[in-house]
Parts: sequence; C-alpha cells; structure tokens
Amino acid sequence: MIDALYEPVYLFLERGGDVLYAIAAVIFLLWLFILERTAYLIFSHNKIVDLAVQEWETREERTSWSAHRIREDLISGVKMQLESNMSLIKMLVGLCPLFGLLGTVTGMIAVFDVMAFIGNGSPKAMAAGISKATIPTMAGMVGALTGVLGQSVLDRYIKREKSHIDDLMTFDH
Amino acid sequence: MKKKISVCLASAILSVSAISMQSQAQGLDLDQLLNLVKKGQAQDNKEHNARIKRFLADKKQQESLLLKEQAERNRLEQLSADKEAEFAANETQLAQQQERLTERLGSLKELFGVLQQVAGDSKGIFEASIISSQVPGREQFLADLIIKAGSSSELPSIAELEKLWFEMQREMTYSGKIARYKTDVVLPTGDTVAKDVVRVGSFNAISDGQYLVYDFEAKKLVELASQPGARYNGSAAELETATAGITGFWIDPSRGQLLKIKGQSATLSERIDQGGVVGYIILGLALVGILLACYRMLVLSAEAARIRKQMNTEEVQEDNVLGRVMSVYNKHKGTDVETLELHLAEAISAEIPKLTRGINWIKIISVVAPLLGLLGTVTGMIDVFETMSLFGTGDPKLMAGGISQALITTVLGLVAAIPCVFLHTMANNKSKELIFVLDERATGILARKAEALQGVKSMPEAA
Repeated sequence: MIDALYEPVYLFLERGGDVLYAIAAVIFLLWLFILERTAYLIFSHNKIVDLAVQEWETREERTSWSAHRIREDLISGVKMQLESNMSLIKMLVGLCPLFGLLGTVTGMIAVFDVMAFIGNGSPKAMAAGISKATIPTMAGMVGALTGVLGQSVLDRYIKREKSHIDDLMTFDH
Repeated sequence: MKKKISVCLASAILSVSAISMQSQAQGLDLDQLLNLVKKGQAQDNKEHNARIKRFLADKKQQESLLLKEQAERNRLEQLSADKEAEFAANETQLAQQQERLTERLGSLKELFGVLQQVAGDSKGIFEASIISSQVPGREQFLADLIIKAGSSSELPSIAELEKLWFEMQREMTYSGKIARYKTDVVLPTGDTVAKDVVRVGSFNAISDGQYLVYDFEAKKLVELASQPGARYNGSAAELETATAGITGFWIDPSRGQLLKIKGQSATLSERIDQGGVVGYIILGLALVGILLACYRMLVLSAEAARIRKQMNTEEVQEDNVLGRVMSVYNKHKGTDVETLELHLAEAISAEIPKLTRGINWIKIISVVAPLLGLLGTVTGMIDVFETMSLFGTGDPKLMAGGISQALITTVLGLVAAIPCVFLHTMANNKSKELIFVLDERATGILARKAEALQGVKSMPEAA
C-alpha cells in the first residue's frame, strides 16, 4: 500500500535528478517556517501583545520621557517577534527558482553529454537529460509560487497587526 | 657594381671554351680524316654486297617456313571451333541438369533459403549475446551451416538442422536464467583472469560486484573501467552472494550500452576544470563570500552574546555596542531630555556601521557570481561558434563538448550564488536584529534601568 503510493514519488525524483532533493529540502524549510509563523500568530502572538499591553496599562504614569521610551520598547519587542523569520521565508522563496535553474543547466549538460557520446540521432537517449532539465524548473516554480502565496498572506496579516499594536497602547485614558 | 662582375665572369667562361675547340682541331690532320672516310666507304660497300647475297639465299627457306606456319594456323582454328561447339553443348547440358536439380529439390530449395537466412540472423544475435561467454563456439557452427546451405553441392544434414533448432532454443532458455560459471575476464589493466561470473539473462554479467560487458570481437567478457557507482554495484555484489530468495538488481536493458555511457560521464574535478579560468574565478569568489559570511556570523554572534549579558547586568561594560550607548547615557544623565536624545542618537548611529560591515560584500558576490557564470557561458558559446565556422555543423559531438563546457560556468555561478544568498540572509538577519535592539530598544532598556534605580513602581518585563 505504502509502496504503491511511494512509487510515483520515487519515479518523479528519479526523473528529476538530484537537484529535486535540494528543492524538496528548500520547500520543506519554507513551509516549516510558514507554519511556524502561522502557529506563532495563532497561539503566542495574542499572549505577547496582552503582556505588553498589561505592562503599559499598569504603569503609574504614561507621560514622562522614560515612559515614552518604554512604550516604544514594548512595541518594538512585539514587532520584532512578529517579523522574525519573515526574511528567511523571503530568501527561501527566492532560492526555489535558483535551484530550478541549477537543475535546468545540469540537465542540459546531461543532454549535451549524451549528444557528445552518441550524436543527436537518438531522442530517446536525450529524453532522460531533458526531463532532468525541465522537472526541477517546474518544481522550483511550484515551490516559489506556493511560498509566495503563504508569504504574502502572512505579510498582510503582520502589517495589520503592527498598526493594531500602535493603537492598543494609548498615552492616556 | 654587381652587374659588372657577372659580365666579367661570363666573358671569362666564353674565352676558355674557344681555346679548347682550337686545340682539338689542331690534333687531327684534315688529310688524314679524308683518307679515313674514303677507306670506310669501301669497307661499307663490301659488307652491303655480302648481306644482299645472304638474304637472297635465305628467302627460299623463309617461304617454306611460311607455308608450314599457315598450315599449323588452319589446324588450330579448326580445333578452336570444335571446342567452342563442345562448350555450347556442355552449357545446354548444365542448364538441363540445373533444371533437374531444382525440380528434384522442389520445396527443399525454399527450405534451405530460409535455413540460410535464419542461421545468418542467429549468428548475428549470438555474436553480440553475452551468453556466448558461457557457450563458446556457436558462431563457427552457424558459419559452416550458412556456407553449406548456400552451396549446391552439399546438403545440410538432419542433425545439423536439429542443432540449429537446439541452439536457438538454448539462447532463449538461457536468456531467462541467472547463471554462475567460470570464464575468462579481461580486467581494466589488460590482464585476462579466470573468474566466477554471474550472468543475468542476456542483459548483464557481473563478477566481484563489478559490471562486465561482452566484447564480441575478442569474444571475451571485459570489466568496465568506470563502474556506474556504489548504488548499482552494491546490488550487484548482493546478487552474487545471494544463495536463495529475491534480491534487487539493476539491469541494463541495452545490454551494456547504458553502463558504458554512465562510465563516460566526467567526474566532479573534470567538470570544474571544464569551466576554465572563469570557473575558477567564480569558485574563488564563492570561497571569499562564504568565508566572509562565516566570519561576520561569528563576530555578530559574539556581539549578540555580549549584548544579552549587558541587558542582564547593572554595571556598564564597554566591550559591546549596548554598553557603549549606556555609558553615553550615564555621562549625560543630568542634561535635559532633548540633548540626551541627541547624544544617544549620535552614539547609536556611530555604532551601526560596525554591525553592517562586510555584509554588502556577500550580497555583491551573490549577484556577481551568476553574472560571471553568464560571461563564461557566452565565451564558451563563442568557442562553439568558432568550431562551427571551422568544421561546420555536421558533427554534433564536436559542438556538444563545447556547449557542455559553456554550461558548466552557469552551474558554477549558481552553485556560488546559492550559498552566498543563504549566508547573506543569515548574516543580514543577525546584524538587523542587533541594529533593531540598538535602534529601537536601547533607549527603552535605559529607561527601565533608570526607573528601577529610582524605585519607580513598574511591572516585570514582558517575556
């Protein structure tokens, strides 16, 4: 049962060559970070905001220089936590097509190796190299597209949350 | 000047030859010469007359000889005509006999035609078949059979017909079996050694975990000099040691062609070498980028650790950026808020370049490396087109070599760019984080510490 399910995956990996493993690793990391961000936003973010707001609200005075500095510090701490790993996600999205391109070029080298060895009379022999060239490109593109989707949704949410925190910490009641 | 000398030389040569002619004429007296001529004429006349006499005497003899030869010629002409007639008669007889033979062979003639064809086909298959290493000498039998079936003087016997059938059946049966036997194997060193060989159908043969191919010209198994690699050879060794049950094994359905192609692919160092000067420049850049990134990561991590330590202690240490900002704050604590802000901002902006130093270089390398790769590709393509202008486009092999060389630099560019992009992001994140702490949080931390010292009531820090 598991073998039967794994078979197409195995064939796909075999046809696409070794670069697919790198792409798979990048996509795995990418979605791991996206999920980490989602989990943070769902489970921890509100608690952290609440703590910060509580610290601000329980202060005796909210008008002095040090009070302003502390407010900024509280907001910055939350924003920093919100934004952490986002640039990693962006970088991984950028790496996907790069790996795809790497696969394309190595695949083309395989094609030209076959051509150098048996001439261009045998399209069947070249097909292996061509699938090595095209499958990683596609995989890289798919990885980047799904990553961009996740990243833009997160970006939008984080932007909204940032302005929300500024609104939460009012100077006086 | 030169012309004058050559004229002098020419005149000297002329005068020498003139002198020698003069001396010859003087050596032979003219009267003596006249006498000699006269004497010679008389002698010639005498010889002439003798010859005429002799010729007339021979003439009669010649005539009789001529008659004799003519008679001989007539006789031979007669003989030739007789023989020609006999030849024609034989020809017709031969045709009649041939016709009789065909008549009597009947359907057998067709049979021998098919036999010859089948034997020829089988010979071709057997010659290329790896099974021939186990069963040698089949081709000789087939070659004899083909000659026999083609000749009109000898007929193949029933035993030979049955042997052909047997051989074909044997090839089929053996191609469905895995067999182990001892045979000569030519090693990559050129030595021939008798080895235990495992043959898998008519596809592959292995020995000691190494793939063999069948060289039908030498009629021997040859060990491939470059094996396809551990992934494939491992299962080969497993098959050899297996005694029962099922093991996985990689079959080359093209009977050795794919294995040969796999062996032809270049090794990593050969590949890198193909990239040429541009390739080495890219690799050098990548090395610089990676080392720089690692160095910056180490420096920034150490700085981050010191800042964390500073956050947790009251006393100001001057070995980190936050500590230096704090000391500026302590120095100007008494001044008014605006001056204090200005001093702090100045101190912070003075520290920022220390944190971002070198990181842009990594970014530059990660951008320049693929560009250099592209440069290498273009120069490689120029080489390819030069080859094309010299040798034409007729030979794809000639061009393919250059093209794969051109692509290598692109690969190297990407291989350099990917870790540089990765490390740049890491280092950049790290430095941004520290700048963030410095820019946005430093004053907050100062304010908290100040309030704590003054005993102003405040909640514990947020986690």
